[in-house]
Amino acid sequence: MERLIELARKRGIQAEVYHSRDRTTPVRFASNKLKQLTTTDSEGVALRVIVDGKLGFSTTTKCDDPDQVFADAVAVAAYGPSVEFGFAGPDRLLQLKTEDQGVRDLKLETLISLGQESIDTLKPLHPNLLADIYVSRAEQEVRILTTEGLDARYRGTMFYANIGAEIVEGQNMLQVWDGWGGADFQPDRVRAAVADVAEKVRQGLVNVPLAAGAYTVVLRPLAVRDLLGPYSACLNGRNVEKGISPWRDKLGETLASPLVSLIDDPTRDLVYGASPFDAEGTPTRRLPLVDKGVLTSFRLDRRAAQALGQAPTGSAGKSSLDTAPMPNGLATTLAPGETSVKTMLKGMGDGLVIDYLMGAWAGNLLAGQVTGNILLGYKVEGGVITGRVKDAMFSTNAFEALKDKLIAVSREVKETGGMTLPCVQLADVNISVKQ
Amino acid sequence: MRDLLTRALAVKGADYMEVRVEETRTTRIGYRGKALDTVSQATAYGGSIRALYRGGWGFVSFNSLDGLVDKARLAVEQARYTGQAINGTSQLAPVPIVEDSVRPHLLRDPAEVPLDDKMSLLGGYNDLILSGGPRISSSMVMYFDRATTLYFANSEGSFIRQEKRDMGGNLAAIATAGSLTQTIAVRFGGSNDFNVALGLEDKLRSAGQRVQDMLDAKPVVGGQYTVVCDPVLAGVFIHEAFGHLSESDDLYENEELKKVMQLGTVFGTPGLTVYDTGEDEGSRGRLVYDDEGVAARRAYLIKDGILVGRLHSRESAAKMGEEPTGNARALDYRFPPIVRMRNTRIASGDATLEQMFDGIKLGVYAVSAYGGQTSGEMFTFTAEEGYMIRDGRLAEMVRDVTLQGNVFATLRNIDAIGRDIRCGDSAGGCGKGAQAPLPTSQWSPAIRIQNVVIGGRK
Repeated sequence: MERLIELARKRGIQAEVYHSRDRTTPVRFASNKLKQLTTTDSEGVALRVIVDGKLGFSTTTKCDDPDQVFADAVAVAAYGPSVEFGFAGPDRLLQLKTEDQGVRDLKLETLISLGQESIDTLKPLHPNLLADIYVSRAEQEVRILTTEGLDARYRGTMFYANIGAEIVEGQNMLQVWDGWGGADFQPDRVRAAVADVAEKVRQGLVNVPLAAGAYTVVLRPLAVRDLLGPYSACLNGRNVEKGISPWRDKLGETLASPLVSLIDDPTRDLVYGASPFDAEGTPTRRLPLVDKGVLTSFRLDRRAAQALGQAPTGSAGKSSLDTAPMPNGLATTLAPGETSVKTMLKGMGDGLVIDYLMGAWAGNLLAGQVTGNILLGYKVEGGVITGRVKDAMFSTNAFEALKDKLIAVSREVKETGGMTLPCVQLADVNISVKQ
Repeated sequence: MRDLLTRALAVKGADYMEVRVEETRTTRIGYRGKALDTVSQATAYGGSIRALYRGGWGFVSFNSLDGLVDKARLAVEQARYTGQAINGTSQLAPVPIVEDSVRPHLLRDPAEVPLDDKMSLLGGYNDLILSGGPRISSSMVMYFDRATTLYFANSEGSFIRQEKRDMGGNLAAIATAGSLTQTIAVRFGGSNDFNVALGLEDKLRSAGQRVQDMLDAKPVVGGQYTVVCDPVLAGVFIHEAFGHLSESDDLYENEELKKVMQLGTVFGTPGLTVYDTGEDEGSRGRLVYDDEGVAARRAYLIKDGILVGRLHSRESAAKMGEEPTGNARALDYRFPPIVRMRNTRIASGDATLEQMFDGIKLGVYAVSAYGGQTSGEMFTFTAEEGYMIRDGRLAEMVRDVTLQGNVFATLRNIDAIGRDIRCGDSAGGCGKGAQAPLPTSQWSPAIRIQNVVIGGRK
């Protein structure tokens, strides 16, 4: 890695080297049986250079060939975008716990028995139930070097479980999943996810009819993630910088109900996505994005920050080695409210509870559109879940929903896929149904 | 290379073993609005070894080929651990041992086109989009091309070297009025010819006009409609709604689903024929050998409305007593092969678009797709453009058209199939598990479907 910095300095080029190395050992159960053990070792380098004010980007997994990746970056920089930002220099980094000895010491047998235990819990729920379980441990090392003098590194561990259950009865199918991930080994969180799956299976076994109309709806956390899709698109600094975010000139304005507070905070010890610096080496920090309904910040990488004349927010993420850093939500939390889920249900009378939406990501997010098939949702009558609804479609505008239609936010939260999310209760949501 | 792989495969202790080594060079170009966003060059080099023992698999992937024999031992050890735990039997459908070297029939190799030419082509397209009218607010142009050399060897003696090309582009025009933003893209893709990226100017001008018109369109009124899908959306529909259900790795251990998917079951009207194939040189889903070294063959799934076949890996074929089809595909060396589609096609019918509109009192013409998703019996996708059909004629434009339904009911509700087939290749791809985006293609004529639920307000 030092060789790349040397090459750049010699040529008078600014450079940023991102080097990652990880080993992941997942255990996979399919159709109630152990199916596959895997060991994945991966290592790669991503290099950004600025040559005569132009940005070049190259990556390689041939770590023993720095000259090639350097030549590639310089070659594409000749055609690259003109940029004015610079790479990160040395900075004070937070002391943050990102690794857990419990995960390092985790035995294969422990992962397997946790998977088997999950199957043993789920299988008795229904004779046709087939469980797919994925339990994994990973160790990762990231190092970022720049010609500006940064040399930052961290080592992290990750423990992750995904629990899926499927029941097919004739042409009626029920698919339920849940999971947990964090930097530390917490088998009880996996057991809680299994219990959640079991509860959803029980609630989803009976289908009940539903008439089209406008309903009060409680979105559970995985569906709340879809509802926040438009927020992520609008908060993305690149969309702001390009002028395509409808929120581009709305900093300080009230965009949502006072119940809505959205915060990125990867500086919490051992949280999923915990990291002392982002994918550009900028120190991470607690970043309130929406505070009691008021837009307080965008997610800015160095490039968007420079274009907007602001400071980077430590929000640069990388979805894979070969994608350039982009503003991204890191360990995002939608702040919990004060209402219990129980109270929400009791108070709503008749309505719907929705666990998962399907295809909601495909809508026009910058326009706020969230439309999806209700993959798993239930009818509520007199405050009680009476059965699963099918062939129904959820459709709302997230901007309106979180501003004018938001009744309550639950005090219970769930950690899911790097986000911490409560349940959200909305009034007057359009549900289309097959007649 | 062959000697190296053969030495790794000589490790004892497994019922079956295979190794893949792959090198891919990818070029990406992206514009967002006026400014160039990214130009990048990626090299991915690595390999993997998969071993089978008593029905249990071990899989090891890596970036360095150093110590390959030790990696093979680890894969075998993992397979033995799994196999002993489940105490099953290793079942793989027999296939011929293959020794082959495959190169695509390149018309104009994207890897050989100078970056200079790619930049000026895409930069020109981007300028054209942005000059498309007063309400065009931005653009999103994505392009990639990829050149791969892939080695495959297995313990049965097969050794295959394949060269592949893949490329795709999405050229999106974005229009804004107040807080409303709309997007329409022109897309292209292929596997052997850079020239599919040329000559898209007229399509871009038209898309620019339509996306501005869409700002004035009203959201579609939610409800149940007769829907005519254009070939691109129809292709996405058959891929999402039916293709995934035909992937037998989700099927062979699921007794109940097997009953639903019993060959001979009526799945559609007599006019409906669907197949999946590695043919169609030049399309993104083109495949000669899959990632188990099995020659890709045409697999009929529905013939004249009757379910006649499905997509297989060697394991799923053996477990179900059927023939392997060459559908075991891995995104790259980091993943084991799973059952995936290649080019999925609806065979053409005889209806013109006018004939399909005829007799529809109130319906929706849904064009192209932002994306789609399926889960068992349910599917959903969002059309890029929508138009009302009133009294048999194309009427006003509508926006926010999202279709959803039950796969089985919807297939039976296809009551007209168009005669002109088109392929909707783009820069996208198919996702399954963590393996996305895999290059697949869909070829389809327009189709008419009765009783489709469209989301939106009443």
